[in-house]
Amino acid sequence: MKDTGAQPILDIRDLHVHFPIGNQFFTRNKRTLHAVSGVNLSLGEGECLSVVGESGCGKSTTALAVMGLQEPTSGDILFEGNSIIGEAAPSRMDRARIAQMVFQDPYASLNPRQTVRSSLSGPLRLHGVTAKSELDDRIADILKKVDLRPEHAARFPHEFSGGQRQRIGIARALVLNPRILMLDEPVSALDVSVRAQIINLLLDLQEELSLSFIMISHDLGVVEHMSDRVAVMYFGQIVELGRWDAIFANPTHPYTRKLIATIPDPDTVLHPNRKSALAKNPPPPQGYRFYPQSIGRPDVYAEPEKSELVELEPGHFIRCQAV
Amino acid sequence: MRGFNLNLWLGGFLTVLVIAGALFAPLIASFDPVFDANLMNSELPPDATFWFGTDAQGRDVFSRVLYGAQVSLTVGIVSQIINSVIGLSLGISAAYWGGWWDDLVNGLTNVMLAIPSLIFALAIMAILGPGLPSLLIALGLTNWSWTCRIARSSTLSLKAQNYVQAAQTLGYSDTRIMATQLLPNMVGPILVISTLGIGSAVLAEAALSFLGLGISPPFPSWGNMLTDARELIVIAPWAAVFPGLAIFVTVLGFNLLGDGLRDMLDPHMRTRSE
Amino acid sequence: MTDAPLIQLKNVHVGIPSRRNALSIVKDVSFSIMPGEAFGLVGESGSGKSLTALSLIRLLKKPLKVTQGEILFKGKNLRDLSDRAMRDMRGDRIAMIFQEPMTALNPLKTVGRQIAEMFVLHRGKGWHEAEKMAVDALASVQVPAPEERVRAYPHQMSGGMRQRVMIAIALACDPDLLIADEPTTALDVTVQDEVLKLIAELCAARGTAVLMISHDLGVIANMCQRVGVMYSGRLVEERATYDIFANPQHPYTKGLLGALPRLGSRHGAGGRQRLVDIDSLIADKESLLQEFCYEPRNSIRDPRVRAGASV
Repeated sequence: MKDTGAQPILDIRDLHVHFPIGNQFFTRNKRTLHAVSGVNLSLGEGECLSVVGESGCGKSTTALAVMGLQEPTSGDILFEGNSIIGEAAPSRMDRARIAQMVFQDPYASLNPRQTVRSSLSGPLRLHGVTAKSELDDRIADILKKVDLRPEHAARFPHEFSGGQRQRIGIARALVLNPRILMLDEPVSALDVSVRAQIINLLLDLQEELSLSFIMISHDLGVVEHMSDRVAVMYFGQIVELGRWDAIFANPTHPYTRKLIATIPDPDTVLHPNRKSALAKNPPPPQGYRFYPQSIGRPDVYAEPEKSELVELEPGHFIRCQAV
Repeated sequence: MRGFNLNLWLGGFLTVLVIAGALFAPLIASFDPVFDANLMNSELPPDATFWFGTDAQGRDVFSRVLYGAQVSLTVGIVSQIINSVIGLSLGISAAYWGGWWDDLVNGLTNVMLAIPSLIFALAIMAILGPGLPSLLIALGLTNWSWTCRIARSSTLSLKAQNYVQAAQTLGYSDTRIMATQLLPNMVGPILVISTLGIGSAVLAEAALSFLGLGISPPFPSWGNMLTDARELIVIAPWAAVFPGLAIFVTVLGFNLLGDGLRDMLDPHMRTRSE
Repeated sequence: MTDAPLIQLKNVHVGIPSRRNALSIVKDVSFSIMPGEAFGLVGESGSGKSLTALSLIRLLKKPLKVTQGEILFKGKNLRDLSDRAMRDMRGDRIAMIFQEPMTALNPLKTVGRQIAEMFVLHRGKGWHEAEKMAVDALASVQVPAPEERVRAYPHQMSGGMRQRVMIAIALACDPDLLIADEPTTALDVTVQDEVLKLIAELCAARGTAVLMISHDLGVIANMCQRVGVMYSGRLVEERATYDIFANPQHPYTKGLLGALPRLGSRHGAGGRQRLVDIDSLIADKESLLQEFCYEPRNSIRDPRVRAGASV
């Protein structure tokens, strides 16, 4: 899917995650929640790919599956061409160097009983850095990268502001030099001014360390600002996928258009026409109809109907059903 | 500033008093608790020499209460440590791993809560026979259910925290996550329940020794001192009153300390920096 | 149209009174809202926007107090009202909705009962009649099947539905002023859109004035005719919404707009610009800020002030 044709760093193939609902012993009618139904995504080296959608759309479950925190029901996830789930999965230790995660809530993402130093030295020690001088160097280095001072290492999380905590969370994610950062709503819990600083920091780090980002977000302003490509998810499926400029300049699937139209955008007061232009949906491609056709509350327990991603223009896909 | 935590200070004072008495018994006591028996001095009321009076064999009740504190505290503290280790490892692992292991631990905990722990301890003592080691085992195996429950519920809420997920992705093994990410964050409630547990273990030791299943005479424990004093309750009540008072003070001390700790560690009582 | 403001704050200070060094968290805030107008207060956490709203409805938690200034509601100073008169005012003339509807609703009572309570309390209706009125109130906030939903408990409803119930309770007695403190922050964007539209429609139809508090410039821009920007306890800029976004005057407002990644703000062939860093902006322009009565920000803010301010 990458236009360069180079091998993607991460390749998610037909990922399904289903959750059985109801107690196995006592309820007859076992139901299955289809959290993720057939997601295909590839992440290019050095790319920032954003997955957007509302709560319950499966974006977080997809992220957890990539991180190895959620066993997929079926499908495969390849890192540099090798499967990282199921039988062939690497050990937790090896996996730690592939991808790390930055969490949304800076207050829940740090162990309140650990100093910054021990949050950072724990993983380093585990991965074979034991000499004190080297540990100190690595910790000072990583703190400098996220614009914190070495003396911050002795402090506990409660001594920091939300933005600083998020920097510590980023430092922890980077301490093992992973190739991929999974950003789960990295700035949505932060104030506007702090948000800008963290976004800038992430962009700087991506260039400096040539990282690949997958960002999970519902904040389209942040997504447009940071992403190379955007995947829009709706109830377990990708409904639109494309380069950021295609998604934002030419949103085609009704759900994407609705999502963009409902974002409370401060510029609405300045350009009132921009939103109203989104209200009229463009026609679906010849021979297809959009899937899902109506944006309401679909039944999450039902298997989604057969549909496919149709390529509108190179790299820009929308979910449709053949008629 | 918050209000003065009376429970904590009073409980702490009583606990320190009892522990100091036990630790420094050889220095404080003027008589040997076992060998300074002198029938000439039997059943003397409290006076300047025998502060708590003497028992039927003429032994100094004060000295015996002090040495009895050693037994009571050893039993209380060691058996509670055993309880905590069992309760924490079962509770944390059950909630962390879930599945059949969680069901099993849950079932076991419920069974343990349904059987009166003293009856259970009696049964174990009956198999193992009297003596300090079997007393420690009996009390250490029977009182872990509350610790287990608290550890389990704490783990259930903690394991949803992102830093536990982060530790998993950083390559931490399950046992390392339990030891470094989960355990330190439940120290507060576990400390409270353990302090209360020591109090009840002291009480259980006294009860078992009173029934003749604990420390064998002539070595003093508060429980067997009560047994010995039973027949003298009318002519020499001090022989029963003082060990009883010692039990009372110790259990009260640990309970107040536990309550005080709970108040101190209660997040609602703390000013949160968030 | 009348020229008399519905509510007017004159030099209001909120803080912890003390004989020696009184601590002010909200400093010298003055603004007014006309009847039927929607006014927005925007600011970051700790800026004092929520405290300003709570001071207005006299729900500040101890030891916080309004230490100076006047809060005039239809010309009457709310600070002079007895507790009892203020209680009658709340819910009847001035109503409030909060960020998290789950904690603001009573989990043990049906939503119908909670709406009916307002009619019993402020309109002296009997329970029977009040519960019938509750059905209409639920219908007015576009809850489907209101006759059945009045018997539902809060936990049986989704976040968006709960917030609709909160709006029904708040607007039950046709108040003159609705205070909405981050009413949609906990909701998904499409639900947020629906709830905001509902508030706007209902208040416009009934002529209810709105004081909307949010950290989200987009929400404020879409909802309000006028906006006040709060920063470290002060109102630093207060103008018509269009003017603020088209032509911000105060350096903090400029910084805030520059720090926000806005839709359509990215241009060029994939170049990712860095956003404005307000902190560095302010550090650079100390003298300019002096002019605008600014205080320099500390990177680690005093946790006690934060705890108090984020109530």
